[in-house]
Amino acid sequence: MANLKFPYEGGGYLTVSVDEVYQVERSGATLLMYYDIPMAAGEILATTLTYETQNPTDDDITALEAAVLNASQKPGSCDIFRLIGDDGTVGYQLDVANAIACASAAEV
Amino acid sequence: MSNYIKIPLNATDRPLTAGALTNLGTGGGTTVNGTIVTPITPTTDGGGTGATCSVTITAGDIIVAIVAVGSGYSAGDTLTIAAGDTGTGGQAQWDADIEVIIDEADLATEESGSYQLVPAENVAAIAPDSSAFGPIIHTSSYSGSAVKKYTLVCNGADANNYGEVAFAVSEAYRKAMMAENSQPTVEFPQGVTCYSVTYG
Repeated sequence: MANLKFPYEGGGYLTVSVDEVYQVERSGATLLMYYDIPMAAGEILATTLTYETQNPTDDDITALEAAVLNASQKPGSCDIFRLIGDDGTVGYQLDVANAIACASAAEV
Repeated sequence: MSNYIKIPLNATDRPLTAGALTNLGTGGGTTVNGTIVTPITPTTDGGGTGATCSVTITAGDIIVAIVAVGSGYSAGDTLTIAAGDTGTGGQAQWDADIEVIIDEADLATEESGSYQLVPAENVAAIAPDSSAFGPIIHTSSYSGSAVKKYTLVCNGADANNYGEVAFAVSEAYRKAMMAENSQPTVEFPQGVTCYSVTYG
């Protein structure tokens, strides 16, 4: 089982499963992870991570993909994933109210 | 592997349910029929807080109805409505304290058992809920219309601590996933208990 934990504005970290993640995207202040887990017809599980203010970059996508691969090779691990440039301020943490959402989403 | 998250359930301290309480009020001294619709904040001999109520007096019966459900109440607790807390003229009146005992039926529905067991291998993520305040455990299962989830209903969770509550559940999940056959119990922040978990 592969997991990563993300800094959370509400305190500490929130842990997210990254098993079966096959694609990572970004949009505004969010990171989207798509899983090879069937949901509705033609759709798969997608998790949206929303940051307080910072917008993830393409380099963050690359780093998250690397972290997913790394986690998948280390059963029982739960490394911290931080956005590149994370200076420890709240903007680089998952938003307290809208940190995580999971939904059935169209395959990408 | 048989990893679980164990969510401790506390069926003792719960919110009330809105509407008339099962038991009639007692006391009240000399009463005048009518209704007090302005929410009154009763005191209690238990640990509950935040409830408000209205009072209706009809033919000597004192009916207390819950408006705001509050939290932390138990069956057998007594609510006391002070004499003089009678709103404006033309409504019900009483000149001595009114007492009413909370019945089990007046409390929010609780989960049976000591723990809610959540199979950790099926968890996708733990999300805070800024409106209901109890965290949501998303799974990787599909109901036919949405991603299945466990929704926790917590006593003592509010706008100030719902993030900490989500973190507490997330930590239990993390511990469950970091060791084979690990079955950690969620350690809620002080003052927070869970009395109901729904799945679907």
